[in-house]
Amino acid sequence: MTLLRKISIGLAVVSSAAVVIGMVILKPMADVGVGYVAKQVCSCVHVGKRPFEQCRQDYLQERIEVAELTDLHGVQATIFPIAEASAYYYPNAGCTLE
Amino acid sequence: MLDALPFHKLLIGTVLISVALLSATPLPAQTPLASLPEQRPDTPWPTHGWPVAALHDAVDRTLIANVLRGLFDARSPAGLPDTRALLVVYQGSIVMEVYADGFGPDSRFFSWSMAKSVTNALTGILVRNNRLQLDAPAPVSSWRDPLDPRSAITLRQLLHMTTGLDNADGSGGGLGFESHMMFSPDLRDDMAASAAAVELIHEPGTHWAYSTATSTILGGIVSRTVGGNRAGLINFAREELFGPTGIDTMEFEFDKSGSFVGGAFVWASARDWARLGYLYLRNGVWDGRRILPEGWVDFTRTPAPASNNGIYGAQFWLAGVAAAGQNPGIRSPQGAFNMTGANGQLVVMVPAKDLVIVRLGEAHVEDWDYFNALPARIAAAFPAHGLPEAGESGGTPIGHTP
Repeated sequence: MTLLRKISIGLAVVSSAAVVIGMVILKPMADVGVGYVAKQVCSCVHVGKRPFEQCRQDYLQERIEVAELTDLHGVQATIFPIAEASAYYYPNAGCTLE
Repeated sequence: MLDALPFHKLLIGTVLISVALLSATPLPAQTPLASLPEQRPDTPWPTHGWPVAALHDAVDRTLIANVLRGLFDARSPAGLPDTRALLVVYQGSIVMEVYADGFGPDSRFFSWSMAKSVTNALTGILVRNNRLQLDAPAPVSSWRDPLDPRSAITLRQLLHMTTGLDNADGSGGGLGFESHMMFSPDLRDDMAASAAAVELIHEPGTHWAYSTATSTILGGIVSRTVGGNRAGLINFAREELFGPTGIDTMEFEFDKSGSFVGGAFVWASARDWARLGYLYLRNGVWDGRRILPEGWVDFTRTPAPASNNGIYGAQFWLAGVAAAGQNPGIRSPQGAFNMTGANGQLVVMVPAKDLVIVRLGEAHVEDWDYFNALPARIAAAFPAHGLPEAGESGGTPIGHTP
């Protein structure tokens, strides 16, 4: 095995380990982030009766994509590919993460 | 990857206003509670609409003008205003009601931690109805084993946030216990159960720690007591609280189990937030009907008995001297008590001036000095209760079109 090949394999192992460790540490935070955004934007739209785009701006978080689930009276937030959450409106009872 | 996420927006009102206490110091001698003003005979109760009045001549208009100057200037990068509603009730009438563009009397505003004070009201009503007992062990199923030291925790200690449970805001690493409880898939489906499933780290009743989880346990108790589902709580609140007081925009939010999220999730208009505050300013009685038990408001506005607390009552914050290490939060006028929530939500009751001050919105700019000083700046403009006659009935409040 050449030195270059050894270095390449070493770098790949280190990089993979870094990704795995990063995911373990960051996944819980990502879950909270998408839950927060989905719930709050859903509530803002359906309870606060404000436009989706304005609500999205109010609860904007970096790297989180937000989509309105119009037919389902809900909102979905995503950090691809590690976290996703959806909240749905119950009449007179606000939004709930499900 | 996510270290740039500004999740502090989520945590501001809970973590910053409730930094865990690090050292215990003797508390100052407790001052007597300010007497609560009675309804003026010439002013109707605000059940079917708030009475309005012009500012009385005795009010310092220069101070009011200073408050209003630039009120809506602070804005998010997207141009959304931070302050969205400011409403002042003086001697039972709205004398100031201003909204940012796009918001108005029908707009609902999010409570964040002001929900804790709503939970206080619902709990109080159930105590009045003898469906809950203040000094009995709290009815939490996971604490029932008498060998479990948590079985000694009482409803009173939950209301005081002196349970000793390891679920204070900001605890547990990451984004804090409260954030994980409300939004993490591991804990959010039954938040009250998650909040209760922690160990004791202090003997109950001895140590104060601000805890959204504790209020959520209370929300779970209230929910189960009135039926254990969304409809049960909504119907109970309509019958016992909303109907008698004219609150008609308040909406609760629930977790997946159907339990009320009593620590943070309530929406209402500015006028309805003012109604809830007014109920407490009037000692829990509304137009001759007792809503909250006798003595409940005094219990609510008396500091929780823990050596590391000076300014927290029962799900309400109080004016006074903070204990060492306790974040003083807003600078309330003497004798005031208040509901506060993240991002600058405020409902402040000032008994000495017969005032309710409501500020609602967001806090993209996060000028905490401004928020903390706002109630005192407004209250300073008003004379002490009882000095002047009521403002001109039917006059035009600030913010209303003549």
